[in-house]
Amino acid sequence: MDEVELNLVKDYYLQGDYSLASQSYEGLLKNNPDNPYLLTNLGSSCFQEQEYGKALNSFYKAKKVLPRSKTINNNIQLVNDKVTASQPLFFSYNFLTLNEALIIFLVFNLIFVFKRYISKNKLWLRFVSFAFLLSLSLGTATYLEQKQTKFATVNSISASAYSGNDENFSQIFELIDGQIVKVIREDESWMQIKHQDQLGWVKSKNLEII
Amino acid sequence: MLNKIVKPVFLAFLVTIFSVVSALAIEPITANLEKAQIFLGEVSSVSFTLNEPGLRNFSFPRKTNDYQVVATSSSSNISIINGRTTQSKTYRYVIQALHPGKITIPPATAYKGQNNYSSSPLLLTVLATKPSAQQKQLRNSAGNRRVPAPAPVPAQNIQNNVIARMEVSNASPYVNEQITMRMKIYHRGNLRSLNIPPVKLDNFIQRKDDKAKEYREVYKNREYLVYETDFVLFPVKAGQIKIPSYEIIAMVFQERAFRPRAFDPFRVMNPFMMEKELKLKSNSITLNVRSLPPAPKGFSGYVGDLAVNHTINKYNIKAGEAATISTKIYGSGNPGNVDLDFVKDSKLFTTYQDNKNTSEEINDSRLYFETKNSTAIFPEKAEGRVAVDLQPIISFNPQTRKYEEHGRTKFEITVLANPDREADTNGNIAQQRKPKEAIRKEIIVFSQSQIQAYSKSLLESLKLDTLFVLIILVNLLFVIKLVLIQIKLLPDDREDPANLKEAMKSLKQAESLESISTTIKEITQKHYNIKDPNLENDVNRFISSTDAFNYGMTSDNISGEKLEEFRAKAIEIIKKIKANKELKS
Repeated sequence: MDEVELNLVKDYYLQGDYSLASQSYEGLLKNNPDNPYLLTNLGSSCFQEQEYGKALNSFYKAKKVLPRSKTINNNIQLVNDKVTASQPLFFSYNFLTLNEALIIFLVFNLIFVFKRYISKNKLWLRFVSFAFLLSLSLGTATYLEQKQTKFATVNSISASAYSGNDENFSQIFELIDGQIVKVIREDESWMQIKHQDQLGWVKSKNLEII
Repeated sequence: MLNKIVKPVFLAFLVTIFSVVSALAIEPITANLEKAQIFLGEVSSVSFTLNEPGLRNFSFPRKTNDYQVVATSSSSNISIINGRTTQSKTYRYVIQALHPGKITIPPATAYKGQNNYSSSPLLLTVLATKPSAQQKQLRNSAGNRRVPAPAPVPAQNIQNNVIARMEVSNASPYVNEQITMRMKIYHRGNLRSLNIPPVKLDNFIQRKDDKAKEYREVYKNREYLVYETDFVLFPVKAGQIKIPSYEIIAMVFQERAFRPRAFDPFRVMNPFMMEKELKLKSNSITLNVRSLPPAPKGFSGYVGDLAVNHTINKYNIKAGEAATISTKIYGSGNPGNVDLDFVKDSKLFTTYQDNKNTSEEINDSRLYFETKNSTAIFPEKAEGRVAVDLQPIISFNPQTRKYEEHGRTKFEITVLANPDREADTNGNIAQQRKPKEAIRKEIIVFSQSQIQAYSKSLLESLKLDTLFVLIILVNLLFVIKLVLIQIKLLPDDREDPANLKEAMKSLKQAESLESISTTIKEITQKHYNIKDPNLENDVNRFISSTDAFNYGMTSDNISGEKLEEFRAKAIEIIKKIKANKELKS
């Protein structure tokens, strides 16, 4: 990574030029899209600019790679304090990455298959079976939450949810910057979302998938 | 009589008041002559200060029959006294007398709206002298300077009289070492305004000094007035770095070409000068940025002067309370390179850092900063002493070319028993009692080194598809194994339902024939399908004989020897079953 550019971005941030810092971090992320540290710093810059949706989005993307990072959790907590709206509780994001969960499952799966070649002790066999089932549940839940379920952050000051994918439909509820919603379906320029058991259609430009 | 005394006293009082008020009243244009008496050929300077804001169309005759102006300059002065801002502008003319005698310097004039303001006329005495002496005195009149006073600005030389130059304080700095870049505009008092483009340098962290400087300087044996803007730079990489040249647009006053005719209508409007736009190009500079010598472990990247001071608010605290370590860091480097992570994690205490507060100031073209930070220390002990080791900041000093340690400190905190607090058996304070308000409330960014050090681990770089293929392969192995067992290509290693090992153990411990018989029946009838006829006969015979004893079909009593005989027989059967085991489906 370009050290010079990193120095400059850091300087922008320290000087309080958060807009320039955000742009530069976004530029750096083009070549390193999964770097959780860059994502966190982008989130921090957005937070300073009071763009809570974008900040939360970056933090959660970073959390997918570093789920147990205290720094990221601290930053998410701060954004949530600012958003002052109820946020969905994520089961898996706090513990394991999807790969970690699947690797654990894979290891226990292997042990389960060849458990008798290791030992025929009843207690061992019971433990392996239990661990296998547990890792299967963990892997499935993590996979379903992180891969099969899409979450998005609201990235504009407010976003209206309509009963259909057109502005002529009636408005059902209003979302605020930084809220996290579950994405049910994606249209060309609309997303059907679920928020607090309510379904609605929101313009895609107001949302960003985590 | 009284009238004779009072009248002059009253008049004297009035005169005094009038004089004082007149003296205190600030004239809109004040004139001042540097020297009231000069020799012929010598120069003096006359200054006009415009004290009234908003004065326009200032004019002063440049050439009369008595004198000629040989140089001009102007300066502005803003002063704030007791919160009141006053602004004034001074025009300075260096004049040369054309003949000996008493010369009257005419007043300068300026307009504000419809009002015409003028300064007081001044009197200059010019003494005749020999030409050789004149030369000598010309030098003296310029204040013993080695160079002649700024000459008038002829139209054809205007480009040479306004020069843009860049200088750096150090052309071969170390990476991250502070240097000053000076953007200097040399002029001969004819500069009206400047348009310096925004300076955005790649490969440097930069700060601009908002305080521009104005002074005189001799450059290439000519005296110039200099307008200087400074930038503080920190090169961020080693090697040759070029600071490109900059184009600066300057508006300058230029003397009109000599007009011999008496009537010149433009002289009335702007009697001696016209404005001209000049495009100046500064020089470029190439720096040779040196890389730092091999750094010790823990080097923060900071280069420059540094002072670190830690203080603690109390050495004795009650269990559950916090001691606060306040840190002040001063320096003249890049504050971004100072790492505030002094207190390393320890099991003996928990730390919470407050927001850091950094202030910067450019003084004398150098950047100075001060960072304040406080860290709360919560000892985990319920009672006793806790040592807090503060790690030093390691910086590089370019003057000594050595790495230096700053702020290595050790605080010993005495934790006093607090009856209000609970502690576990090891003397540790219960975690749930920690004050929640102490939790960090600051948005945190990761350091540059963390960003750079990040590389995907093998685990992270594994693709989801690969993982699923691996999982499917493992499960396929399981299925293949089951199939092989079914078609009897693989021995059945599934769980031994009768648990022969356990059976053997219970047989060895059995104290009655009944329990020996039950164990054999359990294994043979419930779990195993014995196909070997000899073994089957043995089993049947054993069961019949044990039943005969158990159900009283024989008059013989079971003795100890008989029991041992049955036990041995049973163990033999189990061993045979173990060798030829065939589980019931």
